[in-house]
Amino acid sequence: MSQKFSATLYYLAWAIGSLLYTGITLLSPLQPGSNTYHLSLTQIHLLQVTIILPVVAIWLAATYGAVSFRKYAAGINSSPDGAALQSVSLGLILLVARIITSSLVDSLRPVASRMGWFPAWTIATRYVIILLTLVSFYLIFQGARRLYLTLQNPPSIRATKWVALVAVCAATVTYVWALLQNPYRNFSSDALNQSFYLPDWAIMLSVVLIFALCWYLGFMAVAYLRAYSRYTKGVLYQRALMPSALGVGAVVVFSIALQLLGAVAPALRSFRLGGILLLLYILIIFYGIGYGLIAYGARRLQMIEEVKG
Amino acid sequence: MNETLYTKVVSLTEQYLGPAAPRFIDRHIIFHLDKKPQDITRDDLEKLKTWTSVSLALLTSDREIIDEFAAKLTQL
Repeated sequence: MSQKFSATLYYLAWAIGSLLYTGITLLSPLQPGSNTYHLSLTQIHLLQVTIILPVVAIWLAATYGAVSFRKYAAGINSSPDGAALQSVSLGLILLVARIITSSLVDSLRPVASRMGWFPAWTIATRYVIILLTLVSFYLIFQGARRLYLTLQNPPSIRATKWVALVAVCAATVTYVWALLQNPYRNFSSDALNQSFYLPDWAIMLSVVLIFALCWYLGFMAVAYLRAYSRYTKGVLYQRALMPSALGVGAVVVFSIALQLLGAVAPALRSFRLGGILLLLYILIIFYGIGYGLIAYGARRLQMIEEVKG
Repeated sequence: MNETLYTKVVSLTEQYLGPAAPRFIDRHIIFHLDKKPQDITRDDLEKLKTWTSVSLALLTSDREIIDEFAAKLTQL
């Protein structure tokens, strides 16, 4: 029996998140010393709008993609593939929630700094983001693995596991190296500096290792989905599934790239403003394209479930 | 006997629609033949072929796949 599905709640969450983000970003007081490029207040607000609009638009695209996939999965919930796809779809929803929450948290930095509870706020919100990341990646991994196990003759992915481990080790080493370049990682009296407000051992155990686990789950989810989309029965089903499988892969890989870039963010201050904006827009666009592919594939799969001549 | 025919129809459809095949066939039998899927008989195959071909044409423009499916269905 399929589940009834309502997308209203998800779009309402997007709308509330977008309004909060816009309001907080435009109304937050500027941090002393944050005007690195010596812009006027009007220029700063215009710059903020040029960032807010595409970000909110991409959030909408991501919400649409995740909701489309969730709607499809809910419709076939009682079947083995449906149950697995439900897990993937919930993970995708949580990834959207993660990116919105992360932006809201960032926009509240000036407020937290002014209120004097910046360190506690930083620690608490960082762990909320880490938890969202871990749960979303685990759900996508679990769903992808369950799909893979429905295959009658699943191909071996032992070699892929080793490739994933090597990739995760390389990413973790890069992340740790970037962290160690940040002299303010343990403490900073200035909210402009990126700090964890944690000792190194706590950062390694509760941030680095958890992110490494997330990245491994993410890479393996992509591997399982790729194997499922290539070896599942049904030539028309494969063609319909492929865009979504590619989209999930893109979203997972982009999320990992975003987390890695977050570690090297302090180094980006020496870049030119145009370069930073270009990098930001490229990352955001890739994220949106990933969810766009997911939505396109979900609609094709939905057609298979609805068509009756 | 009827269940075997139903299983054969689903198995054939799986070559084109994978895990969606049982749901696709059940929906067409229930909606167009007005009977339980497991009660399908050889006399129903022609009508089932017509409606499933129409549905497949909505899913793909690949005429070869549609004709191949229709031919295999009538040979069951």
